[in-house]
Amino acid sequence: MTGERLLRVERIDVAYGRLPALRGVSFEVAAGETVALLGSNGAGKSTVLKAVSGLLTPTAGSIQFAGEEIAGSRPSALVRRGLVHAAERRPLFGDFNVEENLRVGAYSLEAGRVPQALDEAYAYFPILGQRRQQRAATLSGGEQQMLVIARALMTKPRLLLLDEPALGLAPLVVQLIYQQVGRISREQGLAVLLAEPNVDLALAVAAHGYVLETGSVVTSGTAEALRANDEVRQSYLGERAGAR
Amino acid sequence: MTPVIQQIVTGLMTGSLYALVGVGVVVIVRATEIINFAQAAMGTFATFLALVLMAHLPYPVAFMAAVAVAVVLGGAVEQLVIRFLPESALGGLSPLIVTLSLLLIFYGLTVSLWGGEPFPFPQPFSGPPLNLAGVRIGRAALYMFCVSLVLIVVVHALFAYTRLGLALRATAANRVAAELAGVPTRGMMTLAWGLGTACGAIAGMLLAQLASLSPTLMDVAMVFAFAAAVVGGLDSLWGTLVGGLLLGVIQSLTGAYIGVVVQALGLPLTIHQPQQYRDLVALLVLVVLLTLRPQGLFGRARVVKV
Repeated sequence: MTGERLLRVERIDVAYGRLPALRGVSFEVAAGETVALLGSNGAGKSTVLKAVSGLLTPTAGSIQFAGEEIAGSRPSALVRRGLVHAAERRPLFGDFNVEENLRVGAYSLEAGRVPQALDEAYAYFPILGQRRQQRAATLSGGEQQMLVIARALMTKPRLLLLDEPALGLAPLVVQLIYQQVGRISREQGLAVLLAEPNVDLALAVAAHGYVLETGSVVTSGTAEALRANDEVRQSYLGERAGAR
Repeated sequence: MTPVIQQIVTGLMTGSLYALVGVGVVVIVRATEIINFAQAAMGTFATFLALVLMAHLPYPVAFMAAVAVAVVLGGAVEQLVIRFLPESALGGLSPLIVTLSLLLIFYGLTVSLWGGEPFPFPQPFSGPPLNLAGVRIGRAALYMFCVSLVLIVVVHALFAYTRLGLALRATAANRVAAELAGVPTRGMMTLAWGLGTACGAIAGMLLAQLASLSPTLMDVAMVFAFAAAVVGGLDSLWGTLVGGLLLGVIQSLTGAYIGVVVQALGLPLTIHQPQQYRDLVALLVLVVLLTLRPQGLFGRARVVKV
C-alpha cells in the first residue's frame, strides 16, 4: 500500500499563544497509506492535524504536501490541493440539512462533478441518503460523524485528516465508520492521517503509527511492531490489556 | 377610502427603501456577523461618485458603474479594515466602534469633497405622477419601489439557490467549518461587504433621484433600515422587507391620521404638525414589537456564543 511520499512533516514546533504544544514532531504519510497518531488526551494529536491542515501555523519546522511547502497556508487553499481535515468535535452546519452540508463541501469542486460526488457520498453512507433533507443538528452522533467524513470526501481529497471519529459513539457505529473509511481509502487510493487514542482500533486500519507524548513523538513503527511493543501496550492499552 | 389607500401606497414606496438599505446590512451580518453602521455613509459616498459618473456617462451605464465602484469600495473596506479585527473581538465592542468610525470617516470624506449643499440628481423617469384608480404614484417613487423589490428578490435568490450563496451562509454559520470544507471564507467576507455596500449605493441613488443628494441623504433612512433589519432578526431578508414596508406604512398613516385619532380618543393633545409624529409612532411600534419578540418577527431565537 505504500507509494510516493505524500506528506512529510519535519521537526515542527507549534504553540498556543506562549504555551508550547508540539516540539520537534516529524512523520511521513505515503500516498494511499493510513497512518495513526496515537497517544492519550492532550498528547498533541489534534494539534498535529491542525498544523497540517492550516488551522495552526508552526513556529518552526516544515510541512510538505506533494513536494510543496504548505506550513501557514489557509485550510481552504489546502482543500483545493487535496488535503482535507475532518476536525474534532464534528464541525457541521447545524441549521443546514444533510445535502446542504455536503454541497458546502463541494464548493471547491467544479459544478459538473457535484452530482456524482453526492451519489458517491450517499453510496458510502446510505443513512445520509435517507436523511438528505434533515437538519444536521438533529442527526445522531454517529450520523454527524459520517456527515463530517462524507463532507470531507466531497472535496475529492488525496489526504484525509481524521480526528477521533470514534469519540462518544457506540462500538457498532465505530466499527461501521472505520469499515467505511478503510473501504474508501482502498477504493479511492486515499491516504488517511488518523488521530485515535484507542490503539487497537487505530492499528487495525493503519499501516504505520506514531506515538505522541506531551507534544513529542516518543515511538513509531509499523502497526505490527507497535502492537508487539510492550511499552506501547502498557502505556496506551492500559486497563484494556490488563483485562485480557 | 381612497385617501387611506393613497397613504398606504406612499408608505410602501418609502418602506421599500428602508428595506433595501436594511438588506445591505443583513447581507454583511449574514456573512460576517458584523453590523455595519457605516452602511448609509458608504452608500451616500458612492452616490456622490455616481453623480460624478452621471455627468459624463448615460444614466444606466453610470448607474452600473457606480454599483461596481461600490462593490470595490465595500470589498476594500473589508480587506483594509475589517480583516484586521481579531476573531476574538467579533461579538464584542470593537466591530461597533470600527464601523462607527467608518461612518464618521465616510461622512467627513463626503463633506470635504462635495460640501454640505444638496445637489440635484438625475431622474430616469420624470413627469407627472401616474394615476392608478385614483391613487397617485410619483414616477420617481415607483421606480425606487420596483428596483428595491427586484433587488431584494435577487439577493434572496442568490443566498437561497446558488453555490455562492450557500458558501456565504456557511461562512456566517461557522467560519472554521466552512474554511475546512474548502470555502475561502476571507474571500466570502470581502464579497459580502462588496454586496452590502452595493445595496447601500443603489439605495442612495434611488433616494437621491427622489429628493436631492446631500451628505445627510440617508441619515433618516438608516434609522428605519436598521429597524427593518431588526424586525427580521438581523438575518432574515424577507423579515427586513416586511419590516421596511411596515415601518413605511405606519409612518405614512401616522402623518395623515394622528390628528383625527387623537381627537377621536379625546386625548388632551393638540397636534399642530402631524408629520413630526411619524417617526415617533413608527419607532414606538418597533419598541413594543421587540419587547414581545426580542428575536424579531422572523428571526429564530439565537444562542449567543460566549
